[in-house]
Amino acid sequence: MVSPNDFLPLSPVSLHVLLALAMNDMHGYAIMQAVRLQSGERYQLGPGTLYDSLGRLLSQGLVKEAEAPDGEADSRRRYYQLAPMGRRVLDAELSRLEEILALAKASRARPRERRA
Amino acid sequence: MLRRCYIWLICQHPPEFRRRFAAEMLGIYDQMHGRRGWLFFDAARSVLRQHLTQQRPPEPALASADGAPRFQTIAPYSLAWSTMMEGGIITVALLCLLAYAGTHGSRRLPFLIGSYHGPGFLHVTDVSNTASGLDTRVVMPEEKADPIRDAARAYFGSLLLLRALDADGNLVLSSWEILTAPSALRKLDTNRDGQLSAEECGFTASTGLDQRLVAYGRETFMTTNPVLRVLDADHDGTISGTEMLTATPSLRSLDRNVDGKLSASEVLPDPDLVWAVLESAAILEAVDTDGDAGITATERLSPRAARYREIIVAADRDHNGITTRTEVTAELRLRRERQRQQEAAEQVLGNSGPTKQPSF
Repeated sequence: MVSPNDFLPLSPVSLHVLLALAMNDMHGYAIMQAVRLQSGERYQLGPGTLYDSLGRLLSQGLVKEAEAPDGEADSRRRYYQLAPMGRRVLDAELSRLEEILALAKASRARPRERRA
Repeated sequence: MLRRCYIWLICQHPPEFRRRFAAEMLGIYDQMHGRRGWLFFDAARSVLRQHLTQQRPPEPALASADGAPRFQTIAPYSLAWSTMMEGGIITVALLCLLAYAGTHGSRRLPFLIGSYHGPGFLHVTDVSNTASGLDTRVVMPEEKADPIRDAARAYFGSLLLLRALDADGNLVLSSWEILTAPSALRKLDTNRDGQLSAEECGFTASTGLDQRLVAYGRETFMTTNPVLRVLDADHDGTISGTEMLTATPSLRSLDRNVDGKLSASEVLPDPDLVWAVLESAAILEAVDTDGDAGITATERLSPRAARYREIIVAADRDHNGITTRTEVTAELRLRRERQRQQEAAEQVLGNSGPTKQPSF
């Protein structure tokens, strides 16, 4: 039985892609735009990097293809959605990051011990 | 054009990736305007990553019919794509480095074809290097006019003995060629009599000529050519076996600048001597009526000798009443030398003295 923890830690690209797909089903270009917005335009994925990561997530079963919505004009576009395992992995990764963040905050709040 | 390049880059991805994402990547490329360089870089990086991280499935296991354990190989036998890509990248990088070093380096790499620009080689101009057409222009270096070299080329070509001695044909007798002169001379001995006649050294005379003239020509040939003159130490008109054996020290006696080799200027005959020999031959031909190679007192008084009498009398240094051809030649050379000295003195005086005003 595969556990979500087996996929951790996620790479920054995978994390951003899963985060983008957690909001909605998207095609590749939309994922790129979503990642750009998530990072405050500091991180932009290229098509090569995106599909390299998407291919890996698809093969791991974290992402799956979705039906294109009605009225989609561009036949080349494929839509992707988060698979149930992908959602669990994302939750696990976010929990891990929260723990790290809490730990970091706690260590920052503690006053430093001065050497004698 | 750029779109085609991008399609080419997409095609470099592994087939499975290409089948799945090629259309989408191209769709994104069409949607994005600008940042083409970044897109190309991203695609190239993706190609590399795909090939380097691609895992090949193991070879299928061999089925066993008798229930024996089955084996399978994990490592593929054929070359992996990633290995070939790495090799290709390293090769291209090395070639680029060599090309850059060859064209931008301060010193040209001597092992690269076409990089040598030393003297003596045809120089292909940079203009023709950069030209796109096939009309390459080759500039031949201008050959400096060298009268001595031209004369030497003609002289070495005409004299059989010199051609034999100058084995490499560079118009210079090197120390090695001087050292091996005896063996080179022996090869000229075509009649195997152990000595070299004037004919074997390269003298030729037209058939039907007066034998007296031929004999005189033979003697002149052996005396006016410096190499023959020193080789024929006893001046008997032939180079004997002993003279052939001692050819090396004989030839070295011509080395005026003691550089161990004989250059053209050291081998070429003295023009004054040639002139004197030819002139004395003409005088004797006119005056020596009995053909004994000497001008007697009677012959001096003949009307034919009137023109040369003063020279003939002055040439008779031993005052025996007979002027030989050798004496005439020596006298003519002496006069030519005096004339040159006088001309040189006049030139010096003319340059240092007061400038003559032109008379009107």
